[in-house]
Amino acid sequence: MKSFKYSILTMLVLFSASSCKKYIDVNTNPNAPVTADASALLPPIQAGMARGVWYDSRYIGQYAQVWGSATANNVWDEEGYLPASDSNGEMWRTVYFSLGQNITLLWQDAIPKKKWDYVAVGYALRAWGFQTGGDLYDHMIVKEAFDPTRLTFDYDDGSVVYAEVVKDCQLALNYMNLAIKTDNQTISPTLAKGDYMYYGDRSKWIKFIYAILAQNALHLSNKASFNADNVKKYADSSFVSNADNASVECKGSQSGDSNFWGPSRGNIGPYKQSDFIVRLLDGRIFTGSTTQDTTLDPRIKQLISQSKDKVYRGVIGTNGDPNASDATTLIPYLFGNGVTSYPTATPNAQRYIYNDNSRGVLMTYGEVQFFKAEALFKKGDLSGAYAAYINGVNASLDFVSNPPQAASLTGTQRFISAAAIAAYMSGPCVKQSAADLTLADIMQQKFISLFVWGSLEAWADERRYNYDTNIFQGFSKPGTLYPDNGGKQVYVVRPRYNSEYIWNVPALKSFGALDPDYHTKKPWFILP
Amino acid sequence: MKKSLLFFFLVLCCCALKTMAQVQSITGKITSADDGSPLPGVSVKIKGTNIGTQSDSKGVYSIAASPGQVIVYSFIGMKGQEKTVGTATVVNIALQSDATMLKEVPITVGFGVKADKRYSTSPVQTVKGEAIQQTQRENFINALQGRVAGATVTSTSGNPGASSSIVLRGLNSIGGSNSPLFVVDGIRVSNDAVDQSSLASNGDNRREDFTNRIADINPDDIETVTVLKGADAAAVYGSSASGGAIVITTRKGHAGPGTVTYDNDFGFATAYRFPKIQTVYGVGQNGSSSGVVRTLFGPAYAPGTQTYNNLQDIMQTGHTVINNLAFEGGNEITTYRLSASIRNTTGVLPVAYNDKISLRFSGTSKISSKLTSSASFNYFNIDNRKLNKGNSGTYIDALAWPTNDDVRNYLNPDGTRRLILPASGSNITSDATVDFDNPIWDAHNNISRDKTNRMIGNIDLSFDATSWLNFRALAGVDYAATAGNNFVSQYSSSYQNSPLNSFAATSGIATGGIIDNYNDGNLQINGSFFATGKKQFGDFKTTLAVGAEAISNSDEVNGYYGEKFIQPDFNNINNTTPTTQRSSDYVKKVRYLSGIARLGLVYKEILTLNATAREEYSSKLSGTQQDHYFYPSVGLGFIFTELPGLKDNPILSFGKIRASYAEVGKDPAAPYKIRSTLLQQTTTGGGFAYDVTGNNPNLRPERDKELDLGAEFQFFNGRLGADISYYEVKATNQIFNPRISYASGYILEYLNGGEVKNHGFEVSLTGAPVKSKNFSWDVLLNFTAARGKVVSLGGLPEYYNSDTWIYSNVRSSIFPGSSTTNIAAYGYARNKAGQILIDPTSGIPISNVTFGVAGDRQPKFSIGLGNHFTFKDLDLNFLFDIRKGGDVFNGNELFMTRYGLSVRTLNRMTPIVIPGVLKDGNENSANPTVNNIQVTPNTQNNYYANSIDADFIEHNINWVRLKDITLSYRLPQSLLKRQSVFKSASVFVTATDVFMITNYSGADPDVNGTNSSTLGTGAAGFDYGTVPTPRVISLGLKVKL
Repeated sequence: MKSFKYSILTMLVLFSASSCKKYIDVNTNPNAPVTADASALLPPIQAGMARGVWYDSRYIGQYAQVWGSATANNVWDEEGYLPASDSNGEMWRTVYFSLGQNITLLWQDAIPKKKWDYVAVGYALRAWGFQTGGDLYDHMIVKEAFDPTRLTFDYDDGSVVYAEVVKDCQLALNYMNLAIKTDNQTISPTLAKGDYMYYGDRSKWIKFIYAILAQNALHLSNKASFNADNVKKYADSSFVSNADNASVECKGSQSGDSNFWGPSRGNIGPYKQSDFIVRLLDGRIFTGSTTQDTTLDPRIKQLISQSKDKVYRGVIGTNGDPNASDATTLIPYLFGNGVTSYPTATPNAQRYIYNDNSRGVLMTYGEVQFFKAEALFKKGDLSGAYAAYINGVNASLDFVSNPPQAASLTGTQRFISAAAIAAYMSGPCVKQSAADLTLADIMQQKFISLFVWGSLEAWADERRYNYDTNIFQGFSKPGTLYPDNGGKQVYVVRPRYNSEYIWNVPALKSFGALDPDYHTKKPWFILP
Repeated sequence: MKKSLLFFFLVLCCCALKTMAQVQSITGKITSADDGSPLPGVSVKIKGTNIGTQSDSKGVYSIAASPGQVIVYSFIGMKGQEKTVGTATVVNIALQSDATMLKEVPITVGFGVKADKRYSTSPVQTVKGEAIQQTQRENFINALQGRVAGATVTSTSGNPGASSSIVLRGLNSIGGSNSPLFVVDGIRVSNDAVDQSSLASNGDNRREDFTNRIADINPDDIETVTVLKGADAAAVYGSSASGGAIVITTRKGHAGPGTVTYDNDFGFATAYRFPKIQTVYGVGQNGSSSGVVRTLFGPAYAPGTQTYNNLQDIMQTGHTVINNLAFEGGNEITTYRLSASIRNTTGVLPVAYNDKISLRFSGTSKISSKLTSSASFNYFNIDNRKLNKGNSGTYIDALAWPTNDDVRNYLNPDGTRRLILPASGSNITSDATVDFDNPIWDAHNNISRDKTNRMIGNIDLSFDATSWLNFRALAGVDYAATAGNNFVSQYSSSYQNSPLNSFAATSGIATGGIIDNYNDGNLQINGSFFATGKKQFGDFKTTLAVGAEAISNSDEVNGYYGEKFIQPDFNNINNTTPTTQRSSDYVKKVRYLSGIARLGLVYKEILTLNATAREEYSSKLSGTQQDHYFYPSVGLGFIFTELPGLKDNPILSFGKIRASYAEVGKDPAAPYKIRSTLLQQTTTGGGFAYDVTGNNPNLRPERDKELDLGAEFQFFNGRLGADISYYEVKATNQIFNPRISYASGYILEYLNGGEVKNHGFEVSLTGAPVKSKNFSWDVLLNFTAARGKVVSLGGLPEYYNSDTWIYSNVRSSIFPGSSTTNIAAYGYARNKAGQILIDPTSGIPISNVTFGVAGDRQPKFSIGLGNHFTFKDLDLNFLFDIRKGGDVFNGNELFMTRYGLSVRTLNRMTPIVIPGVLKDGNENSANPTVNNIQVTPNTQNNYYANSIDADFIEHNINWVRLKDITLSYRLPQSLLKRQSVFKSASVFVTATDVFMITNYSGADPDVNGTNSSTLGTGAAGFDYGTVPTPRVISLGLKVKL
């Protein structure tokens, strides 16, 4: 009888809910962490931003005619798209996957530990993601994003995306100011631990947040509500030199931490400089000359490459490289004059930002100065516009002369001499007075300053002006447009195929994203 | 109490003395009343004592008894008899077979408890060990195909050590495991196969096969296999048995004279089905010969050119040698059995082998009149040398070898590898100009080998506290340690995933050689404790069992990887370049704790009610809102032949109708799916970022609801029997990890959603048309028809397991409304009117680049038909496996077509115009342009290279396969009488997979593209790059000492 009692007792103990819970409480993953310090989460988030820009710049660069394919009638040169493919869908991944829940997790670590600067950086990066993504996709998932109870997600239109950017920027500023107020540090060692953009420099982060706000305000230039003063105000609170530029460090030690355009990654080969950039740099657009002058712009030797016969050539529209099979006249790799294969020698230092350890550039001082110049020009403040324009051109020359590498926000290479810069500034490619300044000068000098790293912004500019060839004078409307375009030019990027076109179809249908010509639909931000 | 005990002992002593005084020896022969044949193994006991014996092989027994005592003769399947000892010392007995035979067939219902099948209220089918042993199959699971209604067995390949998967009834879980639970003597044992994704290379689970661990069990140790189908099984065993349970009872020693059994087997395996290869055209492209490709789109061979059937040529005769030795002995108090098996198998492809050793000890002892203990211990040692399968496996390598070149000529005179094309580091899948490895060279130089040491032990204690109350405790340990070696030669084009390359595929040449090793330690411990009360209340027989079970499973896979050999072909991780070395560690720990109650109620032998309840706590749901779930089950049986008017009916001897309902809760397939995990990054600054698959703290258990209706009949005293079942399952709240919008923050995410409905019909017929002294004939027929439908995927359009994306764009995907066994493939692009769209520049059809419903692997029905004849000492047993319907993806044919190897490319010289309309912008207008572009495939290889995937799904595949046939001859007693060593001896010849008649154009439709560890709906019916099951003819002898 005793044993019976004991067994009943044993069973009762076994069944008590608390001991059950204790026994089965072995579901904590021993193989991988589920939480991490904010400083361990921030580096991959920042790397994801650079990645998104690099990957999509390949295709957007073709839309914007920064470069083109060597073969004629390339689908992207035709302003088309690849159906059933994730090509040109990388920023979608950056916003939702690389930044997405990782920023949420970063906050989960930072908020209870009162690491306000990390909280601020999280909001700044969310803002940057929605600004960059919103400009590409127009419609994005904002309100329902990251909800673990949902299987499908509804879209919000461009106005919601744009409002979200402003909101996130505001929160980012609030938290950064709170951080500074809390410990009075300008450079935070805590933030520096995980920050491969500004190494903990909070003042630079604040400038970056204002740069996003300036971009957000400028991009609404076609709207009646456009406020040029806001752009000026934000730009003035933003970067003051190239040392403030937003860029992400690339160590260049192995494939994973190398710049996408560097020789190790070997991605630049298929992309040939456009006729547009060649004509901007050889003076034919700015001076109206019909012959190439390679001495005018000192940036030409850094940015683009000469064929073996010492002539600079570029891809026109959908033509590809007509000399692709002629070793003397074909358009070489951007790596250097005549180079047609990926350099492999170590150290394989290249020029400009084509190195393994070149930083992944997101926004620059020059770019922001051009924001201001354009806004003030539109407002009619020509002298203000001119000053900003000159700043912008100067900043661009400085940037190309000293491209940022590794942990340095600005380089010290001095590829271009002070004399050459001065010569260019006083030369025929730069307007010498406010009265002569045109919108085309601003936008095309900006186009040069954005070369390779800033194709997304260049394309946003072209779309805002509906590919106006009076402003973008080297832009050559493709002779053949992609069949689905129905004769219209491209204006928006489809959301990532393997995310949305298979798994979120009803939501896409609600705003016409399933239409074959959806990519020709004008986004909200450029509409009046 | 003490007094009464003393009195009891006194009485006992008196009786004993009395017995000793008048004891005499009673002998006699026991025969069958039906045919007069001697019955060995009949239990002969003196009523009310522990004294007993068994009849020997001639049916003769001898027992000491005193007059007045009652001798009880009992034998399974026969009516027992009792004789009171009188003066006669010779008592011959003829036992009659039992009219209500079912009464006596015990089945194992759970935790080692035997119950009477008569009282079961859900479908249960038992396969005898002999039926399994006689097939001599290496993986005994394969012997179950056709022998159990509702069971579908798919072998991964015909290689030694190949895994097999078994599914009972339908696929209820789209994202979890559908494998049944395996229980040996009341203890759960592992059937896990290593998942390639747990290695350091994070493989895609289709390049290699890993034996499913239940295959380790020595078939010679199996007494019976009881198959509990459906959710009713889970009601007792918990969520791991939601796919049913397979309960194995092992052989035990018997009271009586000790025996030694030895048997051996010599098997010869031959491959006999091959894809048809054209030998008209040689290597080249677009009709011209080429020195840079291996495709066979070149010019026709000159007349008289010697061609080779390279696939056939690399095949060899596989050999199997089995030696089994078993010792049995015991008395009424203690029994034991010791068995040893050594098995060596080589396959039909070179090099591969599987060597197994099993040692098993089991013993039972009645420690006191109340306490019985039994224990077993089983040790296994398995060494499995494997061959790679799939894209760069041995089979495809053999197919791809040029037909004008002898594949056996694979070495240069200096012993180095003979190449067809210059070595290249490109990837075979993306570059058609890559030189495939020579298959024989591949088999020798790309090594894949697993060595396993395993131990299973269990103890079983049973204590009868009172006449009506029993306590039982079971505990078991199953530990398997596997060391795996995967080696890709630095000269090989064969490829696999590399952790150095973000887990993308890379080849031996590109990396300078790869070693991808692992150590897997798999420990499963479980124990249960039950109190069972049995009491009769008037007309009610009741049984109530209450118990608890604890399960603790852990699995740890340590992977280590390295590339770039320093010394060529030296197979050790120390030979890889240190900077390329990577390691990984995956620990999986799962625990369950459950309380179980079972009630059985029998009213007047007519009505039976069974009810169970199980409350289970699962560690895999720990961290969610609901970490435990409850399963109820209830079943009702009505034996209408016990009704007054129907009782003792000469035609219908037994009839029962039954109904059961059960619910099952189910946790995720793996632990740690609650909080999302971080993955180390190689980007600047390192750190962590979320992995692509998001986990989910909101997961709730899956819920299966199953209704089963059935009937059992026995006619003519059991000469004809039928067991019929119809079931319906609704499985809701499916836990799966679909791809999802990135807006979730992940690329895939664990979710609850979706519903699956399964229903099926199973019939099991048994018959004994002839039963006489010298000749008998038994028939067994199992009929299975099952349908599974995906009702919804929770709003998502599709769910697929990427492992099944084996070749080209065909995969195992399900859609809302599709079958659970759907095949999805790219099809033809069509205009709105449904006309095929043709590329206006090439004249070749365009793929729609969309995974659509393209086939259903579920057969319409399948039949297992077994016949068993005995004629005097001859015994013939054979089983047909018949399948009607069901689709198969013929990936080999697609590969061969794209490569110019298929006989369907022989029409290449005939220009054709493919019916369709041009995709020229007018395709959806009122007047689409009808295609008139002529294609000559010989000069436009794209015609074959762009073959539409869906065309290679072969529909309605039927087969009739002679699964196994055994003829054995028992040496007659007259012969054995002349010696005293052997009590019995027999010789046999067995053949498995003897022939197949099928409308399938490929080699064998019954293969698996991945392996048995793939979750969800798996890749059975995906025929690509695996060697089919060979024909095995074996012979051997069996003797008993």
